[in-house]
Amino acid sequence: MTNTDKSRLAIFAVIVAAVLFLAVNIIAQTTFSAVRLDVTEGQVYTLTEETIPVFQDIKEPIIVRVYFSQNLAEASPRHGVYFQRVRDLLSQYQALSGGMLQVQYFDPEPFSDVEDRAVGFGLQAVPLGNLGEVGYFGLAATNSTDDQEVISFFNLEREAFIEYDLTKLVYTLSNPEQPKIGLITSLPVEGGMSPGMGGMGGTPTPPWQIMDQMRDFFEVERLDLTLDQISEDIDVLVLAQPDGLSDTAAYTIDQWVLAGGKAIVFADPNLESGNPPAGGMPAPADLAGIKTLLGAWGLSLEEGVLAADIKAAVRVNTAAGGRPEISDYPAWMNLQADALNQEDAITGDLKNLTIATAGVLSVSEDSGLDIRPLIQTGTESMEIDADKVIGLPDVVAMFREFVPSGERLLLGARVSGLAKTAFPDGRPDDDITPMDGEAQAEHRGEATDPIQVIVVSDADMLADRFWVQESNFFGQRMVVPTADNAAFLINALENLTGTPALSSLRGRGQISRPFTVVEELQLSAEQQFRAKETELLSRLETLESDISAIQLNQNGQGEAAISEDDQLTITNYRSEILATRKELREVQRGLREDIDRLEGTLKFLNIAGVPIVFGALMILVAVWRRKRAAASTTSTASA
Amino acid sequence: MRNLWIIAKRELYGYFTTPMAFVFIAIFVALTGAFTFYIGRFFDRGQASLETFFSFHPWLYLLLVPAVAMRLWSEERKSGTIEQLLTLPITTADAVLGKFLAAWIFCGIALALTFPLWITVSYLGQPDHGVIALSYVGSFLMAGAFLSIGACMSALTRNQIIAFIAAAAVCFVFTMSGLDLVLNFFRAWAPSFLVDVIAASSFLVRFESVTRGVMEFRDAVFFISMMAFWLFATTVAVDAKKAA
Repeated sequence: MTNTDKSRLAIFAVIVAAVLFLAVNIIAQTTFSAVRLDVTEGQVYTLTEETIPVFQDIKEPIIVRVYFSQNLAEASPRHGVYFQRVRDLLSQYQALSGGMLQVQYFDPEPFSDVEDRAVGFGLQAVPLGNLGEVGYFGLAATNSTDDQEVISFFNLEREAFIEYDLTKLVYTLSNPEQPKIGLITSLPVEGGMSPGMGGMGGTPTPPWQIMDQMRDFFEVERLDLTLDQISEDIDVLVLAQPDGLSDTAAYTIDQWVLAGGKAIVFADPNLESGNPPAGGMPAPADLAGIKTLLGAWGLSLEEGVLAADIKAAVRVNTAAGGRPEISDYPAWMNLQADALNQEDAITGDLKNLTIATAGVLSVSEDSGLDIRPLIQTGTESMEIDADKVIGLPDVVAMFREFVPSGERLLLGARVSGLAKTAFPDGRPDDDITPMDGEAQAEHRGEATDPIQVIVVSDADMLADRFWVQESNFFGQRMVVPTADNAAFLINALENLTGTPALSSLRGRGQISRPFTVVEELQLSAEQQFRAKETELLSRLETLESDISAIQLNQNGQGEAAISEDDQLTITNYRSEILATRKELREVQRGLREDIDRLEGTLKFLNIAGVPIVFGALMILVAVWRRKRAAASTTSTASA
Repeated sequence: MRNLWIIAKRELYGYFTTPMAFVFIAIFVALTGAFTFYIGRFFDRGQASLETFFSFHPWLYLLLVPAVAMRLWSEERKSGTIEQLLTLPITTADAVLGKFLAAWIFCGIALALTFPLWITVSYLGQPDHGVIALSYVGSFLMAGAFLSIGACMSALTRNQIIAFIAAAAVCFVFTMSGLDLVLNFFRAWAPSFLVDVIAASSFLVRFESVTRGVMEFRDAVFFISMMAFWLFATTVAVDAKKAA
């Protein structure tokens, strides 16, 4: 064989290898697209067992149309990967559905019919580059009765929730009949007005996200705070801050619950998310009606106190003495999984709840009911005076004066058991139609089957600002939950209505893993700083008052009477004030010192640590080798 | 097979007899650390994950792996030791694989020496250890793929500098493919199926998918077949040069 032949053969072999390489990869790409090893905690990228029935139970065909622009994948490979994931998930769902779920893929090229249809479904175009090109990545699904569900754009921020979003979409289409929720509330859940300035009307605020979340799964009907009957098709009552609930309404609810109706109550002694009052201070909530009911259910809201937890405190911007400051606000709590009952289906999957100035629930010993905690504070909690949070609370002072009680305060509970009526005398008197004999006969004194009620001592947790982060994505509202507040309500509703649980999916995907060590350092540094600050501030005050006392004395006696001693004292005091102020500033600076030191140490260890140790080792080995070499030469020489 | 190990061991031992090993490892560890802390703002992000750390790996490999690979064959050819090596009773494939394995293990040692970062995140918070372990595996596979390209380039030339530049350039193409910059170049003349294939051959995209904590079968196949192809090409190249 000549050299030319050989090199021809070599080139041929490499070309064959390249083709083989491509073939193997194309097969791996297309045939084994669902084979994967998922090592994430909680297997975020693996199909959840509990959702499988959702796809197996599809009765009527559902058509899913996925629109994905190829040029989007080219401009942003991350979206390409995301698209693959969506496609993998959908093909798994398709396989489970036994042909009931049909998935079609389209590439909406510019100015094509496909693009027109995508736009018609309300899909969101995102600009690519600056040549006016746009890309699509969304889906539209329809069922046989022409109900339509759309994901206008698969945003990367929601990637962790993709399984939930897709499952929910299919579930909604395959179960058009939704359970019905009766909502009794005084909260501006459908949007309200923000406080106006000086008599001018405020700006309208949007409806709360919690309503959208509820309507995804349930039919929601608003009921009046003065209702006197509850229609039969209501499955669960939600009493979200029933401020001013009439006696008749309370009685109607009481009877309804005793007859087997289920209810969720959010009763907040210190509401921060209500409609702004027409003028001046907000009137305290009238919770008399609901408190009567709570009494019958073995619970009460402790008077005049609110729950606070220093470990769960939310960091807020505040102003102390005119200057802006960041401080932990223990009355606003971001409660982690250990605060939530892990054994209950409602809270078991949840990771965190944000609760704002909640009341404290206490359980009456003699109710004979089964009252199980769902939400509790940690042990570093304290009951704080409700007056302290009215108006602009002094967050810093609250932090400074915090004394952990070592006890866990009850914020949410599930009540069951054979409850007695809250109205032993029957229908209350204020009713316009007095009770006739028939109605009297219908009065229930006690439940025949165990009641099912959930009570939470906070209503602010339903407001957007405590659980949702909203961003504007090309003119569309993108909603990413920061806490599981909505999941809590939906779980509770599903649990009470008995709908198949999507709850296994809901708590998934919020993968925040904070530096706990840094957070603890911050907390302890801040506590130290606040203590020192109090001490220094009071010293400053004494010094200043001492000086003014001397000066006052002086002024009384005329200028000539300034004694040398006094002059000296004033100078001393002044320099001491300056020193104290400096110390205060230093303490303030010292707040971050521990953290900065930690950062510096870690940087050094990670960047230079290994090279130094490794280098030293190399040198040692080299020296040892040389010695050994020298020794062997000597021994050879002497031999 | 035994020959393969003998060569791998001999080569690996060779790395540590020169200060080159130290320089390389020190640079790699210090750079990953510095990038993670300063450019990735690891500490300020306050998240117990090594995502930022791994996100710099493709870029560091782009420069450092060709530096390891460049001497694999060029040096032997320049100094003439390649004749000695190939007259030994071993196959070319043994020599290619053995040398590659040694270099790969060497990269693995450098990678393993970034362990203080893993300890750091575990100290600071509660990271997902599965994700980190898999990311290390993914990074190691990617290093192997880079290295196989470098080995092939080194076999093609007796000039180490040219080998380095060629390897870095090819690796760059495979890192960036999938991005418009590279695709536009191919789109001008290549058939569309080829463009699709190139788009799917991006180290960056494949590696990113692994660092989420999921090893897709297709990604594993990609990295392994990548190494297989380039090492085969290296064998062919070494054989061809031997004949020449």
